[in-house]
Amino acid sequence: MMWLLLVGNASAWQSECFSTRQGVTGSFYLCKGAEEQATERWIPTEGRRYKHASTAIAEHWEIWNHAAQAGGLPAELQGAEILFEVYTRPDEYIPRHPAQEKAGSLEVVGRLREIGEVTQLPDMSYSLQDWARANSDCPLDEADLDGDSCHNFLGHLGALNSTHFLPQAQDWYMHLHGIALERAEACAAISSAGEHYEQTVLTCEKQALVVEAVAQHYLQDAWSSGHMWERWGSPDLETFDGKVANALAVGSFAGTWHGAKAVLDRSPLLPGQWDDPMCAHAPTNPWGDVAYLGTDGDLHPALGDLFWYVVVQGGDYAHQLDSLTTCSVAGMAEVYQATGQAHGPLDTVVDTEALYGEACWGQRVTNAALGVGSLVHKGATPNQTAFGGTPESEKAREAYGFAIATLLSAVLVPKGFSLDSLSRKEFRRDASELHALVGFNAKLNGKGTQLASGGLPRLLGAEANGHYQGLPEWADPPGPWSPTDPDPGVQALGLMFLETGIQERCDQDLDALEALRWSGGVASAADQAFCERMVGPHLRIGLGADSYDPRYEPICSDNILYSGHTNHGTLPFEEALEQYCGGVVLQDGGFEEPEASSPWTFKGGGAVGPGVYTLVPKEGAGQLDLGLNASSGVAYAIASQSLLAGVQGGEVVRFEFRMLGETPRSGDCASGSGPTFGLRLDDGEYGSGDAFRIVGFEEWCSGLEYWGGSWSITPEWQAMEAKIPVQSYEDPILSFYLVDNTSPDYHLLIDDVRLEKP
Amino acid sequence: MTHLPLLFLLSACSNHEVEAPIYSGEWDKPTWDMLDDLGLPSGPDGQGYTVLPGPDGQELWADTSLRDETTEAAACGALVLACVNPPERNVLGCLQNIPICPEDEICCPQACEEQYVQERRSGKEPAESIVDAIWGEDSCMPGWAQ
Repeated sequence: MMWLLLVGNASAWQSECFSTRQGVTGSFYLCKGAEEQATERWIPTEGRRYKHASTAIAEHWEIWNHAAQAGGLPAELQGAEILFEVYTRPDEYIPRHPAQEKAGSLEVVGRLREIGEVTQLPDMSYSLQDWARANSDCPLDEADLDGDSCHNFLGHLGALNSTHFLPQAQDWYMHLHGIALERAEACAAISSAGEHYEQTVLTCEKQALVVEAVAQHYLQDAWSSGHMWERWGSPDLETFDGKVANALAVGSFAGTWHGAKAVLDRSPLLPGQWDDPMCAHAPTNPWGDVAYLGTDGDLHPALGDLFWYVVVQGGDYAHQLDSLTTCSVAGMAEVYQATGQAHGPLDTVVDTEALYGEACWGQRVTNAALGVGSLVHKGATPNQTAFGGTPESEKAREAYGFAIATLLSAVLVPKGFSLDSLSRKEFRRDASELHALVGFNAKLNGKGTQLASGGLPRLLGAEANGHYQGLPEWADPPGPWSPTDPDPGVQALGLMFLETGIQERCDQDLDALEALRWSGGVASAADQAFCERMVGPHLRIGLGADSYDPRYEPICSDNILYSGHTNHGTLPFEEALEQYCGGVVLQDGGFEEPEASSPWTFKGGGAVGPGVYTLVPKEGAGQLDLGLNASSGVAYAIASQSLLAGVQGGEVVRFEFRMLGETPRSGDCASGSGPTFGLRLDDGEYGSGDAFRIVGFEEWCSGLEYWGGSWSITPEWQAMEAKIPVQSYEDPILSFYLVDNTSPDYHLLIDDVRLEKP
Repeated sequence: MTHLPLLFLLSACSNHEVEAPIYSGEWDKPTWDMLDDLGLPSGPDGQGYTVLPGPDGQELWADTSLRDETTEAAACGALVLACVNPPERNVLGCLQNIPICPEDEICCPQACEEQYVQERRSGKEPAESIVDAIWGEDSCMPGWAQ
């Protein structure tokens, strides 16, 4: 004879998290700790099977995919992945605003998810913002818990999961669905933007659906038979007098009614197979299948966690399957239809109104279901053994179990929960009463649903969850989600969902945006990417209102930045944006007349990746005049450190130039007879330069201070390739130089310079 | 405002019909020893049984040596629960045929039948009535209110 032997709190349709951080390729282990739980993939993998015939894992994800297909979500969105770029400090995963950090100090860490995969988020984190911040904080301020303890599903995370049970599941869904709609509408607002924002709009739509995926977790739970009753408490610790111990005790007790199997099947303490009778397929159940009362007035058999693989086959569970599918599709479709549908239209006509009817939220399990749920059957479905006793018949044996459960509940002692003696006493009293109540109702009024509809008495002071209204402080807020919000959670949302926030950021300060451009030091991909995503919606390619490329109208057309490109009309938008944020094009730099004794200096942004970077003189500015005189012998045009950003030692930079010289003569550094033109790299202090090698020329000035190649004064483009020395430079300066120790008083005019990093 | 309507309502509620007792057949009485047959792992320090181990040293364990007003209430409830089996036996029939304290270790006080009838007369269903008779404000269990 066996009674319940449970571990932890009520589970839900199964979620999975596996980590690869052990460094063994192809190996997975269950995520350990809060950070992995947030940042690793929530994917099913081989070798993770429950002790029954099902291979059903990551059920929330599977349900999403089922609904996406049934609802005719565009094929491109079915199974679609989204890469969240997190700009974060090394060795952490918390989104940071690059402007609030030391320039170049952030890294880009990707969190790749399929949209449907995100339905599992509420089993991993308290909220979307909690997940965004990599579960680094505990939202339960009163609890004084570290992140790992706080996010342990079998402990605190599960203790407050009354939101996964009706009717709070409905409240929580509607709240998040509202946010998803808000995000979706923001996508619609930018959907008429030009083609150059195509990726932005597509990403926006995916982000909106990600929020809906989180919301759908609660809708899906509402259609798990194990969740169609009003669990005690709320996600607010105040419900439990602010006591974590009380919340844990209540959550654990709820887990004894539903949620056992997922834990028991994996428990090393308990060999063999177990059952979660409020969710399991149990044809031998003497009380009949677990059933719920639908809003059509009929009772319908139902299954729950770990048995989606049966539900999806329909049959006896057709009503449950159809209802869940209809409601999920309605929510998903409503969000997608609120976007601009850049991925294409839905393939089916969807009645989204269904989502707001009782048909999606009115289902409650019968008293018999709760009674059976308060027991545990050993063995795997469909051959589980009802918890035994001496009576002969199966029905009598199970009924006998109600009596045993009541007896046992009276001697349950919470250990390690830090309950005071009065609370312990109250717990035992309440538990014994509850067991008796469900037992009697199962026997005498098995088809009634009043217990699951708020009829359960209090447990440790916590009422059935339908008594509680409102959301806890840590719930995800509606927009705006600003990347600069003083609330770290909101800021994290703003940073993770930049595309859905474009509309609400359109009036942002342009100076602040401009400050995102790379301006020195070591450029980072994070700085560059963040700048492009923030500036992109505001950028016009050109010099001003009278001179810009009309093909690329910005989304935020009332708050515009100009790129400063004189060559607008020829550049693709993406390239211009990249250059604006990190390239070397200057808005107001260019070649400017220097002080008489100063080197020519121009600054640019950091060139962070392969590409061609063009130095464009400011309109009206003169050409770069490398003028020599007899006394100096050397003229510089310094591109400062910016030109070398992202250029690593050993790389080859292709260097193109054209010159308009007043003195038509050629240089030949090898012979030392002529002026030498080339590039120079140093650490910022004149006189300590390390010239770098010009490759591609047989003759180069190995004996000279500066390396240069042969060249000639010609208006045609000429090329040199420069190999960056292995040395690293903290503050590198790139100089164009001209050396001539023999022939003073001539000028070379550099018209344009291009640098290409292969 | 007058109290008459309320009085009328109370009067009406207190006169709900109570079912006739039904009792026949055999059934097994629960015993505390049954808990030893559940096969649960040992509890802390080898005492009782572990029922629900948690992740941070928390657990629910069964201290089967406990005997107090809660175990007495649970024993009474379990006794009636094991007995009730419609249509053979209803709650009232069981209350009239179960061991009356202190006749047996698992028993119900005599007052429980009377309290159950009162709960039924107030309009409650049988399941709620028997639970309230044992665990409610006017519990039939001695010392329960304290």
